[in-house]
Amino acid sequence: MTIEQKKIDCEEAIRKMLEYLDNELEHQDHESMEEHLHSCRSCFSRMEFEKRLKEMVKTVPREKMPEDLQERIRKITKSFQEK
Amino acid sequence: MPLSQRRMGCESSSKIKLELFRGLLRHGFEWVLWTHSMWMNMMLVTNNNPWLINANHLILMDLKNKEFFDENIGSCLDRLYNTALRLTRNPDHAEDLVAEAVMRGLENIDSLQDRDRFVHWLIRILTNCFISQCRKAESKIPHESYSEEAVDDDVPFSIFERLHQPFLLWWGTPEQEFLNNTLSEDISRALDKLPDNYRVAVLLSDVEGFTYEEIATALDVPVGTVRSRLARGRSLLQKSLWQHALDRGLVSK
Repeated sequence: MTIEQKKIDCEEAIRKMLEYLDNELEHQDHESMEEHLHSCRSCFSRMEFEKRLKEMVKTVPREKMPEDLQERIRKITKSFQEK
Repeated sequence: MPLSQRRMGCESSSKIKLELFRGLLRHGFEWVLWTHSMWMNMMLVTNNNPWLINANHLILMDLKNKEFFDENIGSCLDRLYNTALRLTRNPDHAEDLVAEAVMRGLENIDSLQDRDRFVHWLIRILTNCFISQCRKAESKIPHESYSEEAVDDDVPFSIFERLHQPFLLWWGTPEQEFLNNTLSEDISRALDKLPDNYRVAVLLSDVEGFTYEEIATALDVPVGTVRSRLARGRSLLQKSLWQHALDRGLVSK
């Protein structure tokens, strides 16, 4: 931990948790958050839960693209090539 | 013919010849000058004129960009279709949306700045097309809302807070158990239930991996609005998952 690093409490950690997981916190806030997560079991568990849920949203199953869409797009790109 | 007249005729004929010779020299020289200046002008026009250079460059770039588009669009279609499907929640509308996005992409190919972010650029166009469609529909049907006021739920909902126990259990934790019992189709359903504003933000961030700045650019809103839409969207998603788990009897109030 650097000398300038500020400590954050659970309330602030919860408020900033999603931004932390999105990797959108400023460097100093990110460091403070990690420091807090190392020392607070409850916030760490919460972070693990949110992280896993976020991962589940990310890997939500994808539908297979209809075959005729590929042909439709091919026609569109071809018409633009001829312009 | 008298001699004097004949001499005059000879003299005038010599003068004419001389004049003709001078004229030929002068005009010939002028012709050379004219040809040279034309040549120089052509050189100036083709080599130094910035407008023409830019025009040539643009034509070349346009061809290269179209070629790039044509070569790479195929690998992006699956992702585009799935994003469109999540946005529209209708397979036919999703196909139309992808087609519209591809057309707009081709029309605006010059705005593609980073080829490594080609698919993100297309998803941004696709999202814009969707938002335009929503706004058009909204103007026709006043009850279908695409506004921030669509949800009056300011209190964040957290499944973790509902389930977490401060002590350790030998079999794990209730919140992780909840996720173990959550199916991907539950997530899919919860995503589809989100109002448009929140669904777009959550989709772009969690599924497509856009940064807040990229979402803000795509939706033409401030980054602060992206933050609040994401927070609300995720809160609503958890609320929907919780409600579904209640309905299935997996959790109790």
